[in-house]
Amino acid sequence: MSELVFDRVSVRFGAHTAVDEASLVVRSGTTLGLVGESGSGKSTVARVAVGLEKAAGGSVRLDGAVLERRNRRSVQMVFQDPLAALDPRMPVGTSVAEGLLATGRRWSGAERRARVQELLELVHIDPSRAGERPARFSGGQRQRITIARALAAQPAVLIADEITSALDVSVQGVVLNLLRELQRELSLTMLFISHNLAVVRYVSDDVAVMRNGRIVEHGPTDTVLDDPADAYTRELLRSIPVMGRPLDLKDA
Amino acid sequence: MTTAPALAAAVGSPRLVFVLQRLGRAVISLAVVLVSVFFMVQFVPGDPVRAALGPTAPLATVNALREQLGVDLPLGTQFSNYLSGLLHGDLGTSVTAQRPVTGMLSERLPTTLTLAVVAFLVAVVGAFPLGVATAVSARSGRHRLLDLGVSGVLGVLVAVPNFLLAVLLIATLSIGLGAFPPAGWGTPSEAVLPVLALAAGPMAYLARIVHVEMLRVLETPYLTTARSKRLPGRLLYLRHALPNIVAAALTAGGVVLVGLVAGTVLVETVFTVPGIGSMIVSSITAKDYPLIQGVVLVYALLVLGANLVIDLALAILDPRSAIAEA
Repeated sequence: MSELVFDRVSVRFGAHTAVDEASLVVRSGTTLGLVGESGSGKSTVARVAVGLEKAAGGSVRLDGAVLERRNRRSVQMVFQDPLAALDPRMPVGTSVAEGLLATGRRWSGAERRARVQELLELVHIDPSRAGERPARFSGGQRQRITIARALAAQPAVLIADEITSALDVSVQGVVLNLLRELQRELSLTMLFISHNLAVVRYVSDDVAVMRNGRIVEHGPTDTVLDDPADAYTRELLRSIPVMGRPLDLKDA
Repeated sequence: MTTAPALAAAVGSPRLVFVLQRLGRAVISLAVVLVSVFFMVQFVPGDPVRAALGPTAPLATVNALREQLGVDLPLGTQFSNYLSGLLHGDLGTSVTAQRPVTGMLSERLPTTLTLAVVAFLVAVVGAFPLGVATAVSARSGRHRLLDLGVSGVLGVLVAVPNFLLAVLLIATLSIGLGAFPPAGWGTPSEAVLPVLALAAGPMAYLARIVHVEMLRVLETPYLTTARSKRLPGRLLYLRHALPNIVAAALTAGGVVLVGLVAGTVLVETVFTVPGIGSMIVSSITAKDYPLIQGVVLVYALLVLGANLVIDLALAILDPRSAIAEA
């Protein structure tokens, strides 16, 4: 059981309110897709959960316990740019092995190697390549390595912040399928952030829509995306290009 | 160099190509230095023999010395003599000291090398902790005043010429406090002030580079990733931040090392250190051609050697830069 709750979280940058009393529930073992245009505050919400940003008000709770430095390792984040998220001078196996430190227990050398091998296999990276540096891997492979790195900490919740937007469409599918597979196998709770509604629909059980720092709609994926209650959600849906049909963007 | 791909195909390893290219470049630079040293000295007005013997020396003595040194020969012959001498390791005979230049250089070179190497080590050892500490403390705009103060002091140290700093050090630490001898060479306490005067500027410069590079690396996503692994700060900086600034710091270190070698000329003169730096000054005033040529040649070798070492170190530490160049 690991339910992540955002309770009226606000974040301010100077006079600008980036997130305005946003409340969200990521149900245990499910994926919540968080959508919204750039600047709507969705990444900021995620950054509050992992402690990269301070909330001006409200709280983030994991199974009822407020997230602070002590228990924050159980929330791990995968970042947008896989090219920049790995130390270019460190072999990827070592990067993943360092992630094991966050579990808080001591690992013997043999245990560590075995666990790194297991994690790399989990994300379909050949473990014999653990000694290579990130530059030798493609974008999609690197993103899978960063996922292995996050999983090394044995998180209860995984936050994926636009993890497919830096990748080719063909590679996006591989990473998305991997996420679905991992979630099934490890019964992960996941907050999936994206501006791409098609991608969100593919992986999410629930969807929340954010605009100007506020949550405007929140509910099961099919309900929200098939029968949107909010005008902004309808606008977002209409702006998805469909092959063979002209885009209707007259109010955009 | 246009032949790089062909060379790479012939040799096989891009790293070896890189090393060969750098060696080739050093040899060309050295050839240019050899030629220009010879002609530069020839075009300086004045007569070295008259300067050595004084205006009242009898004409016979002057002519005898002139013949002995070979300065009465045509320029072309002199140049070929100079080159063939070089190939035999003979740099000629000093006009003023009447001794072989190679002997004089080999007596004094160790002193200059010691001074430069110790000063370089002091600069590097001082710069890294200083640059890292100030960058960590100044990260994301914290401790603004402290940061401003430290960078101000470093800026002043970069700007003050080393001979001026040397005089200041003598005035305060030596004459004022009596802590260290004001001149001389031989005991460790005599080395303190020359090393300080020589190392302070390069250290400040290197510390600034480390500071800026560190700030850049601390903001990279992979450092955020490293933080999310709950790594202790020590590991975070040692393992993830430092290796990623080494290439830039080393490049700057090369510039510093070269400047430092040149800086020995003035610092040795101020502290009367018996190295080749103080020798170059006296040889120029005496118009001692063979000696000037010898000293300049040694300095050129030192600078080229320092550059070569830095390039090779970069190639080993950062394979990407070597392959990109080759």
